[in-house]
Amino acid sequence: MGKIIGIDLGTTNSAMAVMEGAEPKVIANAEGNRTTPSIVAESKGGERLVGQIAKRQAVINYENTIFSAKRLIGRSFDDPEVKKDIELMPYKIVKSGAGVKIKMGEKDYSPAEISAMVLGKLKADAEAYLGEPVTEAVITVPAYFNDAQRQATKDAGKIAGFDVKRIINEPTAAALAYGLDKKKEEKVAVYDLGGGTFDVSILELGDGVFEVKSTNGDTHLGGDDFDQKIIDYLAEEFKKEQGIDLKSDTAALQRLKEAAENAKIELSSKSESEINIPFVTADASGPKHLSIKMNRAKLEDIVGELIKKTLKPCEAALKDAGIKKSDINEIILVGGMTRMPAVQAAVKEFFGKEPLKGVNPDEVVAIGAAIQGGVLGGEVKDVLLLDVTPLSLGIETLGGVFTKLIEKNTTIPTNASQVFSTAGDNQTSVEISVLQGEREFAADNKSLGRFILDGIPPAPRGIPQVEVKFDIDANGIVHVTATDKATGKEQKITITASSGLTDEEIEKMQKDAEAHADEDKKRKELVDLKNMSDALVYTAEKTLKDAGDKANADDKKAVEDKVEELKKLKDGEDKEAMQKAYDELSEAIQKVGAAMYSQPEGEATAQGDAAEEAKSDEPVEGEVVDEKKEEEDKK
Amino acid sequence: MPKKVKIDKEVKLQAEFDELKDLLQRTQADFVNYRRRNEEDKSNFVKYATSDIIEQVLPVMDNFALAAKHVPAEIESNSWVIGVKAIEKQLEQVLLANGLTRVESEGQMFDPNKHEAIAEVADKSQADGSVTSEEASGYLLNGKLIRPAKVIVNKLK
Repeated sequence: MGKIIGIDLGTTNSAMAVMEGAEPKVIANAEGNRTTPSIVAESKGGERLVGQIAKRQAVINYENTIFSAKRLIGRSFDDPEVKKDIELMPYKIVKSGAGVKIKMGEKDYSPAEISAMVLGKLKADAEAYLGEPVTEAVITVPAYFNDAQRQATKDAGKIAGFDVKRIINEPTAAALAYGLDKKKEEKVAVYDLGGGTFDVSILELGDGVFEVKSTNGDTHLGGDDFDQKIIDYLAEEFKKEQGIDLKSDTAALQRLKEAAENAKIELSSKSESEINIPFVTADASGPKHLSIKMNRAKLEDIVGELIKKTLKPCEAALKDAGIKKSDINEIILVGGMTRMPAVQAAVKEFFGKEPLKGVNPDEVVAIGAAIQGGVLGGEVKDVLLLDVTPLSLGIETLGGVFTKLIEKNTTIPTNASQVFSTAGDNQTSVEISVLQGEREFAADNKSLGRFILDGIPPAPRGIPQVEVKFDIDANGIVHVTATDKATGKEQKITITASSGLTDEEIEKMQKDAEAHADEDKKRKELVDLKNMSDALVYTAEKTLKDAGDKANADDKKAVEDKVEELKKLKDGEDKEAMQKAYDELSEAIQKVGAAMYSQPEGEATAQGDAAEEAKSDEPVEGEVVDEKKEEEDKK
Repeated sequence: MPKKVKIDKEVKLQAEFDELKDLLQRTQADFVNYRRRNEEDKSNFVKYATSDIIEQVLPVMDNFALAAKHVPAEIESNSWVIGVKAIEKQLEQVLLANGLTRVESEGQMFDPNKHEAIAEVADKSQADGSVTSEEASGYLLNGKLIRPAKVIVNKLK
């Protein structure tokens, strides 16, 4: 069984999505766009065009370019909406049995057949995207669609080659996308302002099922009308300034349209926009340019009427549902036009509550349909809902530092491991202190437990390898194991979820980490430098010892001096001085090392071998034995 | 009696096992697919990462073309005008170097795969269905259409 995709078959544009794991994902079409125009055409040569490509030739082939078939699907010829469309549409609509047919090319097609062509393209594109056949779908319809319209939509799906698992209401799909079905009882208002239509629905959730209490709207009010108002305004202003009517110039009108749409979008995030159309037209006196500044207030002024028009249906819908404005728990925004701040503000003011808008309003219905598809397909089960660890987990290492092994917000179950070593020579045990938190230093984080692994064979510092492994199961239980790679000896600790922090504590911890981020960072840099200095001093002294007579006296003295200096500074707080001393010692000891290599061969062999041997079983200064190697406190 | 209970339990466990196994396989499959798609997306991103900026620059190219179209005849040879045209050339070259190519339109047969019709004319002297003029150029980025050419098409009755 393949995936069941969710399809929002819109009047102007369609979209589709599918569940991937437990997340819904919008599927892009073959052109790479996340929405597809619901337009079908037949070219003069008899070629069928669907989607964006059909839109591109609409102007020169309007009789055979079919759009808004959704307005006709499942309706009878006598339906007032059909009568209106017969007047408005440039293509021919005829009576056919109980319903209607649309003329395209030489043939007549039912609206379901036209919609099937759009669905067919979506199907093909989805299969290309997913790399597998797609035969099942959930398709959405307006809540006010009657049986005939729903059946016709299902037929469209069938013609396109889909097994339509369910037809669901668009507002319900939107509610699913916001996860509202997880709540107990909810009264939801869905405000859907799309490209060509406005729909408002009142839903009531009870026992996991959404009931449509009422619907209302305006079938000829949408984003296109908003664009038109802006176009009209710009053309008027230009006429005032230059005395030329741009609307009668096709090319100019085209640019006006684009500019109007861009301005509308820009003013959703900026408070002012400058509309520039150089060389918009020309007359006897030369070329003319349009340059008009528009601010948000002006835009809201221009389209204010239209926004007001949406509120009446909202009133009516509430009345029909018998629900008061104040009883509405959530308002969902659907449709690209709802991105306009003025629209959002109007909705907020009307309902007295902030509407939900986190999900892309152009995609929210398709996403909800995909979720429904996932539920029907058995993919979205509780078992699949995974947790994350809210805070980082790790252990304490040299210098009181907190070393993370598992980053916060990692999905569980998960595991991670890292190899650590000892801080001192002949250290035979290590203490593993398990901590939870975001601070740089162990003392500032929460201790979850500690244990000791002993029996480590005596060796110089940094030689033993102790692997520390963190394992978190699906229930959030943490298992920490420390294993000595040499002996295979291991010790472990199990920490149950409840022994960590509460939700409030977690939040506080995260806030604290942010507040102290800079301070922690500085302290950590200092501690890191101290640890490195310790290591360098140790290595330098060892190298000198091993070099013996091979190091020349001057170099040796230089190293000894630098070692003394660093020794004095490394327990202090002066980072700069310490860094300087560190660098100087580093240079000095390298000189000794280099000198040792440049000794004439014969002389050097006997001692050289000894030096090489001694050198080979310790980490060479500057070389990293294990990328993630760190050292631990001896307790 | 105990035997029946045991069998029921076994059946139940087997069912649960099968369900979990199926779920595991699906999740693994999803993951593999996701990873494959992620790789594809990444390589596509690298290819088309610049397309957003380039798309925003196209209207500027359009306006330069318009400006060139409207140079008053009497100042065509003015050195300042020539200088500005050189700037346009420079912009064009930058875009070319980034994989942009222009769509051919004038004189071609209208093709909705790369042209967008904004108006029609009826010119008997030209072929039916041909592009008579271009209002704005169309562009391909690394072979993929990022904007169709806006054209006027000849339509004979």
